[in-house]
Amino acid sequence: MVARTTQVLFETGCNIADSSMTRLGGEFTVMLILQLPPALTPTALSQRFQPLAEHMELHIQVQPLSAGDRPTATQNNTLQSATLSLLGADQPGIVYRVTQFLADQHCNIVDLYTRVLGSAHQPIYSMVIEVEAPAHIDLQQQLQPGLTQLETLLHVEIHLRLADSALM
Amino acid sequence: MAILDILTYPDDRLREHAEEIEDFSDPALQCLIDDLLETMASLPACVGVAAPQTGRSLRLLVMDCGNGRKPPAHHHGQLVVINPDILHWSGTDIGREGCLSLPDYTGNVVRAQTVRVTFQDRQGVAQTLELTGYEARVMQHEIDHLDGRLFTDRIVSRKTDLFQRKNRL
Repeated sequence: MVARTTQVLFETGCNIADSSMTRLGGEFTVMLILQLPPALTPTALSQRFQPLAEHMELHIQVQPLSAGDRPTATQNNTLQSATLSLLGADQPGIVYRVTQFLADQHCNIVDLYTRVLGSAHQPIYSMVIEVEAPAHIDLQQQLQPGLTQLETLLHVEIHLRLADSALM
Repeated sequence: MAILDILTYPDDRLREHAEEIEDFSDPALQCLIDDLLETMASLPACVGVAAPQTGRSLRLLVMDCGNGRKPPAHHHGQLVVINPDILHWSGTDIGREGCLSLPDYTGNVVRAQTVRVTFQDRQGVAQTLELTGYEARVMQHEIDHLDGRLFTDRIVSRKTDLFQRKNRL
């Protein structure tokens, strides 16, 4: 599927910038940011994908982006990032409660990844979240008390890692 | 003394296996050591530089955990490390690393928690140190540079262990 999709992009002269491709359950999903050649419109690209979409039963959506939609060069000194990882017994409300807490703390989620590990009888829920927050906040101090409460409430382990690494 | 330019990925020179140093009386070597120290000091939050990062394929690195934003409580201060060899390592730990040669990314890397390292100082005198925690991590990261390795070679999962920097260097 990836090869067939990217073949169309190669043949139409599209350049793949950022991409995310993953299998969720039995479905494979692909998200791409593309740079189109000047002569190719998003509508025309969508039409070029039609035969493949029909043949492989794909749902394809092409959406134009303006230059401002793409947070590129990471040159924003007003933001910091951190990674939060969670591991524990699966139960309803884990994602909701953790993400609501982060929203309340003005942390913006830029990446979230969950997987159910373990066995069918004993599922273990694993979640990794990358967040952005204003640089002036002491994230450890601000988030840790609430995360500790969530650990108790949800019977999970939550670790927070600040991305502020030194250079080597 | 001079502040040296840092090579960035994908420069092929970052992938070379660096040469052992034998002549410690060479003025060019002593000058390079001073330049590496000045380069490290000139970069904010820089805790280590290896000679290959500056295009000199030599088994030489400098480090100082005191230069980090949150220095560990115990560390050995400024170190000039030549021809290092890890004699012993124990424990493992995951920690976030950033690299001058990969300025757009940071990554979670598994390293030994404690290492015993033998090396020569800038006079060629043999030294042995036991390093733990963050200082051990820095030493392992820098020795990797001498062997042509980058931290991305040790990333287990791009999805969960590699991160784009928010603050460009």
